[in-house]
Amino acid sequence: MNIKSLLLVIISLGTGGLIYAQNFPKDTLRYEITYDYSYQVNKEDTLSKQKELMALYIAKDFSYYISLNQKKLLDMARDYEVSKVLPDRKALSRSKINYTIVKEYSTIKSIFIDRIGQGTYTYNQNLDKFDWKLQEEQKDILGYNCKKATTEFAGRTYVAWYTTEISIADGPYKFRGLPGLILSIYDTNKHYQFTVASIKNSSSFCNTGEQLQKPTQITYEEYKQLKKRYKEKPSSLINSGGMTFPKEMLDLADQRAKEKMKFENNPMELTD
Amino acid sequence: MRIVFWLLLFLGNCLYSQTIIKGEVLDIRGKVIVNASVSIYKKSSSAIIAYAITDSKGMFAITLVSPDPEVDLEVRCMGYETVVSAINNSTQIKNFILSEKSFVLKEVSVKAAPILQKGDTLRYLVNSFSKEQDRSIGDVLKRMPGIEVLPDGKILYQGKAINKYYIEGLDLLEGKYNLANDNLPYQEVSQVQILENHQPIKTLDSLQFSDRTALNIKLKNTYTFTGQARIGTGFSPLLWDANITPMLFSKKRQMLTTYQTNNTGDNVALQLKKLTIEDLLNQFENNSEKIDWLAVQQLANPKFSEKRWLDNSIHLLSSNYLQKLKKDYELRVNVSYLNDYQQQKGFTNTQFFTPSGTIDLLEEKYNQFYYNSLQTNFTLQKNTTKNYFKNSLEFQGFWDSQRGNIVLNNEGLKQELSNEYFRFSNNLKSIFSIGKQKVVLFSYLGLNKTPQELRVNPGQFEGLLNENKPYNSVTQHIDLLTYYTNNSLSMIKAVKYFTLESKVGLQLENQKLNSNITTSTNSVLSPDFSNTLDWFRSKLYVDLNTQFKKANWRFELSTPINFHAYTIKDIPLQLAEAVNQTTFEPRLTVNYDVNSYWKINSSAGISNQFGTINQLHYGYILQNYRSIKRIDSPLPQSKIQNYNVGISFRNSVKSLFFNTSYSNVQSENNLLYQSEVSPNGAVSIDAIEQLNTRYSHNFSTRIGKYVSAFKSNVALNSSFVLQESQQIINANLVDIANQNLILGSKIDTDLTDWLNLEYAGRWMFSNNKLEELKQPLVKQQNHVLNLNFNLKSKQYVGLKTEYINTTLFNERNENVFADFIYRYTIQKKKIDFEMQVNNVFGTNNFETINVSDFSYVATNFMLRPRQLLFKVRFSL
Repeated sequence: MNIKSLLLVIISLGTGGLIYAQNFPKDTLRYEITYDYSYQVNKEDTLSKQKELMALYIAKDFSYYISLNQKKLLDMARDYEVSKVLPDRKALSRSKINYTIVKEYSTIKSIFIDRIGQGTYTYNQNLDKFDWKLQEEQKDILGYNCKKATTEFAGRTYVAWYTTEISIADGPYKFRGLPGLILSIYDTNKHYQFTVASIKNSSSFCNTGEQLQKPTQITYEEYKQLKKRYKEKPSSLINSGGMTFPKEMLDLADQRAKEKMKFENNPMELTD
Repeated sequence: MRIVFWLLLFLGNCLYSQTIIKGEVLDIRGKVIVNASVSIYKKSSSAIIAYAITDSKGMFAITLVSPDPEVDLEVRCMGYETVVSAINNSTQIKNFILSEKSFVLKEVSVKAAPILQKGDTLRYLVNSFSKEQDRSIGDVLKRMPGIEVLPDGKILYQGKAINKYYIEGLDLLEGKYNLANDNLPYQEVSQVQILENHQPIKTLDSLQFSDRTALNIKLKNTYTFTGQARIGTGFSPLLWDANITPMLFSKKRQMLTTYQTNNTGDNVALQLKKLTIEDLLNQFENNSEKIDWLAVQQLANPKFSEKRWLDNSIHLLSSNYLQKLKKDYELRVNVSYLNDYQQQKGFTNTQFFTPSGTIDLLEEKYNQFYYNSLQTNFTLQKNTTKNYFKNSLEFQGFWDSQRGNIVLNNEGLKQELSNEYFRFSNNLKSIFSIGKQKVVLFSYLGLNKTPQELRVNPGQFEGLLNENKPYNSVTQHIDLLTYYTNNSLSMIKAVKYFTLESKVGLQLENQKLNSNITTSTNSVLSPDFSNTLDWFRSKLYVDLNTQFKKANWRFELSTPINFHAYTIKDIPLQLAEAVNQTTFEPRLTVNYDVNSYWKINSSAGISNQFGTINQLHYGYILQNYRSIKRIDSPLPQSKIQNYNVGISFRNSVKSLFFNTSYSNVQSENNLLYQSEVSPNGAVSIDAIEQLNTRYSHNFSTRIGKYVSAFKSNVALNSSFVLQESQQIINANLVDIANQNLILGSKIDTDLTDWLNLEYAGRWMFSNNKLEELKQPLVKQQNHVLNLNFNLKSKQYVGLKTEYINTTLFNERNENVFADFIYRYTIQKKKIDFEMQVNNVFGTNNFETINVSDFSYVATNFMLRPRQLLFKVRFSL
C-alpha cells in the first residue's frame, strides 16, 4: 500500500483533503532550507544508497523538517480541498521518508510524526541534546563560511559544518544546538549524509498540523514497539487500518518485510 | 596526535582555571529570547572557544577555559541585532537586550551538476548547456563536452561514432538521426544520455560486451507532441524555405514526419544520411551503397559551410512511424522521398605533374544535378532479454541525372548522364535459446540494378575511338545487376568469464556487368569497348570468437577462416580468371579500465581484401569525358595489417574529457595502377602486377572541458596523418608521401548575461613528396566567430563571421564572410520572427586548391550572392 493509493483512497472516500490536528505550531515562515539527504540502507552495499530531498522550514519559534515530496503531497491535498479537482495520479510524488519533525524552540520540545502501516502516530519529546566539539577547520559551502564541529549521536560519530552567518541553532533531522545553522552533516562512515541544496527567504504560512490522517498520540516507548512490530509482521498493522485483506496477501507482505529487514541492516540510529 | 591533544587539554585544565559566564537574553520589551546563540571568540579572531544556546527562559551559561585575559562575546539570534562585546575572562553574569532587526538571507541553491554519471551512463542535463539562441536538440548537443558533431551531423563521443540514437529508448530513425537532431525542440528534452559499452541486443547484454556508445534522448514528458513549422522567403533570386515537422513520442508509439523545401543552400538531404557506424559497415559489407560508375566532370566543392555555395532547390518528405505491438514486437515504417535540383558554376585549372613535365588544362564548367529518390524500410523487431528478432525489408530507388557543360580551351563540351540505381533487400536476424546456448540466425538477401548512361558531345578519344578523326558524340552504356546473399548460423555460450561464439556462414555474390561504348559514327565498336562480365564470388567462413571479461579487463579474439572462390569471365572477350584462396584473418582487442576515469583500448588484426567489379573489367569504360579505363589485370588483392591503441579519460564531475589514439595500417597490394596522361588531358589507367605496400599512420587527440561557472565549453583537437605509397606515372615508379596536420580549437562562452561568443578555428597543413621532391606546403585556416546578443530575452541579434585563408606557392588567398540575423520572439506563443542577411560582403567566388598525388587543381567556384531572408517559426 503506497502513499499514492493511500491518498487516492482518502480523497475518494470523501473524507476531504486535510485534517488539521490541534496543538501543532503554525506561523508565517521566515526561511526555507533544503537538504540533499543520502542514506545507505545496507551496511556493505554502497549501491544501496537512497536519496531524498528534505526541507527545513523555519519560523520564529519552531522549525519543521519534512520530505519535500511529502510536502508537495500535502499541498496537493490542500488544493483538492479548495478546487475539488482530483489530482492526476501521475503527478503524485512518492516520498521515501514518511516522518516529520517539529522542533519547538520556546518549549524545547520536539514533535515526531510518522506513518506506520496505515496509521499515523505522533509522540512528543524534549529536544535532543548534543555535545558538540567545536573544531578550528573552516570551509565554504554555497558561499557561506562554515565551521566544523563533531558529535556522537545514537551510536554514530557525526561531522557537522555550520555557519554563524545564519544564527539559527538548528539543522536537518534531529540535529541542532550549534551557534549557527548546520549546512552539512554526515556520519564518519558517510552512510548518512545531509548537504544543503538551497537557502531561501520565505513568507508563506506553515501549519505543522496539516496531515492526511489524524495522528494518534503515543509515547516514545510505544512508538518504538509499534515500529518493531510493523517491521517484523506488517500484517498486524495493516488490518487495524479499518480494511481487511486476504490472508495470502498479508503473508506475502510479512515475507517481504522479513527480506527487507534482512537487507536494510543499517538504521540511522543504532542505539537509543 | 590525539594523545598530544588530550595532554594539552589536560595541561590546559590544570593551568587555567574555569570561568563561568552566565546571563539572560531579552528583547526590548523584556520578553525572553529563546534559541539565541552566545559565543565566546578568542580576541579578534573567528575561532569560537565556547558557546551556549539560550534555553526556554532565555538563560545561558558558558563554561570557559582560556589563558586569555580578555575574550569577545557575541550574541546572535535571527531577527535581532547581533551584539558583540569584549569581556574579561572571569566568572560573571552578563545580560543582554537585543533590538529586533529583520534579516534577509543571501539566497543560494546548488546548481545540478551538468553531467551526472552512474556506471556506464552519463546524463547531460540539457538545461545546463542550452543557450537562448538554440532551437533544436542538435544545437545544444554541440556544446556538450566529450560530444562532437561533425558538419554532416555525425555524432562522436570521445572521438568515436555512436552506434545508436534512441529517443526514449526506441530506435525510430535507425541511423538517420539528423531528422530528429535537427528538428526536435530542445525544450522538450530533459537529458541527453550517453550509454557507454552499449549492447543494443538485450538478450546478449550480459553475454557479449560491446565497446560502442549509444545516445538516448530523454524527454521531459512521457507523452510529447512537438515539432516545428517554419516558413520563410527572400531574394534575390526569389528564395523560399519551409519546414513542417510534427512529431509524437509516447510509450507505445513514435512518429516523426517532415516536409522540407528550400533553395537557400540548406542541404536537408543530409537528414536522410545514415550516420551510425553499424549501418555504414553493413552498407559496405552488403554492396548496398549506390556507386556511380560514370560522372560528369565536377567542380571541387569549397571546404567550408555548404550554405555559402550550394545552389539547390530541394524537396524532402519523410515519414517515420514506430508502433509497439503485442508480445513485445515493434513495427517500424520509414518512407522518404527526396527531390533536388542543384547547379554548379566555376572553372578549374588543372596541372598534372609527371616526371616529364606538367600538363595544363583550363575548364569552365556549368553543371546541373537532378536528384530524385525514394527510400522505404519496413522493420519488425522484438528485442527482449529472452530473444531477439528483427526483419527489415528495404527498397531504394534513385532516378538521378546530371548535365554538364564545359568550355575547354575555348571549345564547348556537353555531358549528359543518367545515373540510376535500384535496390531491394531483406535482412533477418533471430536469436533464441536452446538450453544454455544462444542460437543466432542471420540472413541477408539483396538485389540491385545500376543502369547508367553517359553521353559526351563532341566525341572524345578520337585516336582510340574514331581513327583519329573528330566526331559528334560518344555514349557509354552500363548495366550492372547484382545478386548478393549472406547467411550464417552461430552458437553463443558463456563459460565462466568466457563467452564463446562459433559461427559458420556462406556468402554468394553474382554480378553481371554489361557495358558498351557507341559513337555517333559507329554504333558497333570493337569488342574492346564492351564488357559482358560474369562475376561469381563465394565465401565460406567459420569463425570462433572468444570474449573474456574479468574485473577491469576485456579481451576479444576472433579467428575466422575464410574460403574465397572467384570465377570471373567475359566470354566475348575470351578472358577469364579464377581465384581460390583460403585466408585466416585473426583479430584481437584488449580493453583495460584503469579506473573509472582512464581507459585503454587496443586492437590488432589481419584482414584480406579482394577487388570489386569496378576494379576489374576487361573492356574499356568511359568514366568521364577525360578518363577511359580498362583494367585487364589479375584480381586486386590486398593484405591489411592494422594496429591501434587509444587512451581515454573522462571525469563527469569536472566535465573533463580527453582521448588520444594512434593507428597504423599497412596494406600489401598485388597491383599498381599506371596512369597514362595524354596531351589532351585524357587519363588512361592500366594495372601492372607488382607487389607494393601502402603505409599509413594516424595520430589524433582531443580534449574537451566545460566550465559551469562561466558557462563555457572549450575543445581542442589535433590529428596527424602520414601516408606512404607508390604509383606509376607515365611508366615511372614514383614514391609518394603525404603528410597532413590538422589543429582545431573551439570555444563557446557567455561573456555577459546577454552576449555569447562562439569561436571555432582550424589550421590544416599538408604537403606531399613525389620521389624525394618536396611539393609546396599547403596551409589552410578556417575561423568561425559568432557573436550572439540576447537582448531582453525577446530579441536576438546574431553576427556570424567566417575567415578562410589558403596559402600555396607563397600565394595567399583570403576570404571573409559575414551573416547577420535578427530574431524577435513572442515567448507566450512560441513564435519567432527572423530576418537574415547572408553573405553581407557579397563575395561572389572562391578559389580552392586541391593537390592530389600527381595533380594540382585550382577551382574557382561561384558562391551564393548576398541574400535577404525573412522567416517565421512556430513550435508545434
